[in-house]
Amino acid sequence: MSVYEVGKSLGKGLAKDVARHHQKVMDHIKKGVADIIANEDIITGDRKRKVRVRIQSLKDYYLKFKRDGSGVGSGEGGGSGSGGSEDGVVLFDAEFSLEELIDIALEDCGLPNLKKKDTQEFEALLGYKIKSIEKTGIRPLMDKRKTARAAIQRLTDYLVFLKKNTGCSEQEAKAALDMCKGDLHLAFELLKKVKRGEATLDTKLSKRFFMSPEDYRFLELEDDTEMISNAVIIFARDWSGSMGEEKKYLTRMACFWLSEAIKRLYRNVSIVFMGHSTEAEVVSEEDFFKRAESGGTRSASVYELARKKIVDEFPLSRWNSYVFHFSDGDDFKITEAGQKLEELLKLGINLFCYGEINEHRGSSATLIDEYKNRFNLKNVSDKSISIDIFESATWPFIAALFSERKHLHQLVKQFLKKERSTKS
Amino acid sequence: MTELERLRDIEQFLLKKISDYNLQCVPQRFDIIPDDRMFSLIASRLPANFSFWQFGRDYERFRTEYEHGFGAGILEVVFDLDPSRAYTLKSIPFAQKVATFAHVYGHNDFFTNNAYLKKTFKNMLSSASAARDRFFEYERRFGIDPVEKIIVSAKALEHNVDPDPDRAYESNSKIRARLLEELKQGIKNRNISSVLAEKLREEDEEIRRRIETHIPYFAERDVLFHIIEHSPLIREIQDLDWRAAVVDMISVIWEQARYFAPKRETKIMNEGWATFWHQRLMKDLLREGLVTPQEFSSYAEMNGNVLANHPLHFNPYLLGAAIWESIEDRWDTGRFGKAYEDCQDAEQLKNWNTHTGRGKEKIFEVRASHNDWRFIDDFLTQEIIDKLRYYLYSVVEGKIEIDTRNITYIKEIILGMIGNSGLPKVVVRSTINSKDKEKQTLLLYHMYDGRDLDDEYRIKSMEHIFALWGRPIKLRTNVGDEAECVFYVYDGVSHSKNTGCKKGECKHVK
Repeated sequence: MSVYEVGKSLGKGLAKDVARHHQKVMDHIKKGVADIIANEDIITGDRKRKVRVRIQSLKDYYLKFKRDGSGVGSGEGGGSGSGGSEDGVVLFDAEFSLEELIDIALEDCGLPNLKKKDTQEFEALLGYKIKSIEKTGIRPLMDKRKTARAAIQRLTDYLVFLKKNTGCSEQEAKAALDMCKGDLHLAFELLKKVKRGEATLDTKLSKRFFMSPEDYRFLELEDDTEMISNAVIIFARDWSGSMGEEKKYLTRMACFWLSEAIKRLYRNVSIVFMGHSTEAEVVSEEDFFKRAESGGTRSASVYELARKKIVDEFPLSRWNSYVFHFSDGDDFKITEAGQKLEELLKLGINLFCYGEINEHRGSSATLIDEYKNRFNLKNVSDKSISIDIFESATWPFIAALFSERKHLHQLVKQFLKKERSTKS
Repeated sequence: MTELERLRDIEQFLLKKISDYNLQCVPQRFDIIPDDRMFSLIASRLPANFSFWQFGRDYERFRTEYEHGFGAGILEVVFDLDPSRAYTLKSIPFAQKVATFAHVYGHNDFFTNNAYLKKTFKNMLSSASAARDRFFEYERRFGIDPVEKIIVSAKALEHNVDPDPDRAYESNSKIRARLLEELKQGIKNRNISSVLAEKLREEDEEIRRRIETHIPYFAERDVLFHIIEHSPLIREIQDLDWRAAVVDMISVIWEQARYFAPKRETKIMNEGWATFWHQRLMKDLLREGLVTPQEFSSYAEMNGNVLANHPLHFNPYLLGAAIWESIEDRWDTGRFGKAYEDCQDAEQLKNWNTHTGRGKEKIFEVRASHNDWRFIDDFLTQEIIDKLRYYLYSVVEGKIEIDTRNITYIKEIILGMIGNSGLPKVVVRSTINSKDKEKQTLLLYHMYDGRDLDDEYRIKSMEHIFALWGRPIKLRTNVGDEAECVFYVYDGVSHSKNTGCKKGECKHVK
């Protein structure tokens, strides 16, 4: 047996284990994301601000004794006794910017039923892709594998050439090349001299590898783009007197997250904000989140406005359209709301989502009751979802009942599920 | 001369030297490797082991610790194989590499000759890498999630195997046949009156019934083995390929656990032995001029770190090496036996030397026959404790307070810490083998010794055991200052707690 030097780095298998562990840790973080989503600081805070998240290492569980504060030590004693850390409980502190946390929270969200409309397609930047391999380029983009392969190829060619033209052995050719620092011409001359007996070869190889400038290979990148269809998103919310502070908060948060998700998914999406009490109007984003009015509610008004807006400015032949509406469900004219909504859906919009914030569902009918009948909504919630989600079999219509901050994450995920069976 | 060439020369010298010292090693190969390779080796427990995310986690932990400069100072790792494989860090100074070589030969000799280790499976490397291929195949066929679930649950029981290398594993039917035969022979050989025999018949019948209905018949220490053999969950898996895969995966983890268990039980001796020898061999190398005095200083620094005192723990390298030196010295000078122990004269004791000269012989004898528990029990002396300045402490309001430096107490605590590798002893209790699902509960008994189980770990462990057993898990233990007897139950949905024996009258605590 003997001593060997092994340069090989991390095995492939373990790289996979490391990645799998990362994934598990991320899953852990994601479980805590519902709390992050319900936190108002996120909306108002500085996006670049770093948030420190302590990530618990995933433990190995086995039957073991409870620790107590005694044992056998050595030395003179004294000092503090807190040094004995639990076996690796805390793995690391990770820092995330709010931006990144939002990314984590909104992973897997997408706009359902996005259709390619014929006109007005635009390019969206996805990242970079490799265009070609070049012999010149910048150092960070050097492709080590291809470079090494080119060098080996060249060296092999040299050896073949030398053997053929001087009649030497491969070992001699290698030694000559080694002595001449990889220069083919000098090696050729040297071998000729050796043949004539004018020089001798040093048989000990230096184990160095002589690169030639022509060996280098560099990646050439180009932008990776994709053609994406147009989409318009209409957010509508009830700002009437019956929407209390908490309901207002929930609506604001839900709209914030939905718009945040859509904005980061599709760069060139047009977003329209609308608020309503008995009459509806188009407002700025800032106004949308801040405004509150006294008075009653007539949702029909906002559906009518949305329909007009789509017909006038975002014709469906060119635009994918999505409408989100939030209300507490109290409405003066429930039937009229239903009729107007049906008109809106008949236009052929891609998706309509309705969120009703209603913690105490009493006996009086709310919008959801009207919609359930009119649009044939079915409850599709399963164990993994703690809020009621309704989908229509005939219309592209999703409705949700929610009442607490912790529901926000699921609401956003459900509304923006990429794959959905809903008809359009 | 390159470093590698020098190391090869040193290897030759060491080989000669260890045969002079009569160390009996199997062939040894050394690999000099980069740091991250070392972390990955230690993290995955064996070279080319099966793939599992916990190994990835440990790799990152080692690397992070190393990058922050508070790593455990890993320099070398050696695997108990034949031929033996050792790995040394490339990034450490020359003399430290040499020291790891010397250290490794100590381990090699110990692995090869110690009674608890010499019977371990020395072909573990190919076994592990074959398992790796099979596990990949399972992942591909059945998905990574179910495969991981089995591995993580089986690993929760990796400390609950039988560390006894001589344990003969028999199938249940074989044990049953043997017991019945023994019973039959016993009855036949009884030389008693027919009246008495008639009286005993009922008793015999009871024993026979018990043998026929109980699985396991004796309390089973190897919980993982019991699960492989008798788990109703595994038995009920319909997909035969998946069932075979599950049994295979648990068996691989069981095999590796059995491989590592005796190493945990001999850690102090083994590390002490390797340290004892590397110190000697390094001096030889210095004398021979193969290591220069300048280089030697970097080794000396490393050796100091390896043998450092810690206020809260005892260092197995330090303790082990000190005991080996003490044994050699005592048997060289005859400080053992009745005459020495009975001697009361302090002056005479101090200068006691009968020139027995049996030190070498004794340490080789002990390295072959003992494990840590017996090693400490037989050879830890007050002199060693005084020399290493050991103490028993308790932490009061965040401050270490020294309780005593007396051997009686310190020995008892150390023995408690290393007995059963410092883990609770849990056995599968004999229960009636039943087809009735309700009665297929796995009954585990914790052999209580005054130390309570950690609750968080107990709860999660029971869930893992359930994942392999598929029927309720019942665990008996004692809790609290009054050692209240309790049965913890996990039925797959919720945890509950039943009271066992009457207060103060627990029949399970001896």
